[in-house]
Amino acid sequence: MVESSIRDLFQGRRVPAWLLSFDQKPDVALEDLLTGGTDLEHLQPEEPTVVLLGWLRGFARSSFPQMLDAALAGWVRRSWGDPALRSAGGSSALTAVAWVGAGTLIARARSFERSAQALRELFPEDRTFLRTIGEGPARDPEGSAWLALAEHQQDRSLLDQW
Amino acid sequence: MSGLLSSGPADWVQFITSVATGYGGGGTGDQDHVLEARNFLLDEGVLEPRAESYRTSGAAVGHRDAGAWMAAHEKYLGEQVFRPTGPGGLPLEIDADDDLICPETFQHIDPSSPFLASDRRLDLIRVERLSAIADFAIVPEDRLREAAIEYIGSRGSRGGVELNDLLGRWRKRADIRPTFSASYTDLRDIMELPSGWEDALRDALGLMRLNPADLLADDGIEILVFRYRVGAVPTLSSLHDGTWPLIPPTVLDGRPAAAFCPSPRGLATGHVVDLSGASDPPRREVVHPTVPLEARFLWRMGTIRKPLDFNSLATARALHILSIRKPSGRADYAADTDLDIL
Repeated sequence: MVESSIRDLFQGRRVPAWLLSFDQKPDVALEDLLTGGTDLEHLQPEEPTVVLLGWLRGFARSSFPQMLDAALAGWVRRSWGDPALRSAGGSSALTAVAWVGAGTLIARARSFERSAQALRELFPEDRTFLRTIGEGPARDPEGSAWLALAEHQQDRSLLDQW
Repeated sequence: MSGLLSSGPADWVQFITSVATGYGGGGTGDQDHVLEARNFLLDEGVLEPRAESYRTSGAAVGHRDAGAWMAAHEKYLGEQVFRPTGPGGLPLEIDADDDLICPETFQHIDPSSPFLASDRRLDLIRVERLSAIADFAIVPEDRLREAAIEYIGSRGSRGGVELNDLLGRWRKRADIRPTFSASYTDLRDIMELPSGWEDALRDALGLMRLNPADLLADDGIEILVFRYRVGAVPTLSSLHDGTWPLIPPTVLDGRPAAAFCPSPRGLATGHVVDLSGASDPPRREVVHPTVPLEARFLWRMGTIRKPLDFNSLATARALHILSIRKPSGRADYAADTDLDIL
């Protein structure tokens, strides 16, 4: 997706700056959004992942979902095992929130096969990581990961895990 | 400027002042966070322990840009204000001494806050985007929509079990945080409009996040309106019986918002910035701990269709400030920060 196509989608209306940043540097923009370190302008009061899911619906017919899936798959692999991400200011709380958000995105976007696959490769083998950074039901990265995998499972290979 | 966050480390004061004075006039005011920065200079409701906590968290420093400020602010919120729940989920009574679950907002309440003693039968209003609830709860949007339609259409006689099941998944994932709500009494005129009440409600509550154009939502944004009594608000162990943690919102109770303006200290509540400019009399808003949403609180649903008029934001803020000067008796309120738009 190039900037001109983003602007076309908005038909002359103001384009959220994050989308232009994502177009330029998808990995950085996504990581900033997941860890709360992004400027969403007047959408700032909203939950960042919820904003992103809203854009996913609006851009369903563009290349945005594929770009986002690729960036998220990369983030999952890059961030796995780090309990206090630098992009989260070293905050374990925000790192947990970021993983909850990632799980929510994967669970809600049925087309996110690459990021679901990344999570599938890492998570059931090592449940300890997400469990240790969890902080109860409202910050439960492990629960989010299970929900994500459940939405994407296509066979009975996870039966033993359930 | 009398807000505690207008002072502090020199690099912070320089940063926040420079952002606050960057307003060129005629623009939207939100792209460069001018109005949000002004709120930080203005907010008299931030008590010293909270200002100190904000400084300690590293948020009150000289940031390189607005994005860095937002990141530091989010870290403060995530560690001090948005609190995780225990095994039982959202509590109906919060131990104010337990800083693991009690948001900082409710650990340091101004003892003179008169709205604490509200009548438990007063109604509060909260607006949520339908798809946001579905996304957050990870439930099918269609199921939520159908359950809501059936529940409202049958006046609560059908669909309640399904709706409570879906909202139960929202409740399970929700954290304990200051939640904004408005007084139903102040919004009754809007809710009785024969059509377009959704657009009017969005504007009246200053909900800039509900702009169909931002989400390319050509069919509009579906909303659910929850109406609940003060008595449904979780109580706080530090308050005596018959009082509730209903307090005026401050800049430290949520993410920075352009359509927010803190009220002068001493007023019982905050007041929403009406994007339509119809601010007189100002409509009341408070924050309280997260209310566990239930089917019985769902009151209306509808669709926001009108795009936001960003050019009206500065005017709306100016009219808002003028309207709250009267009840507060502060004829010069915000003169230091907003003289250019008043």
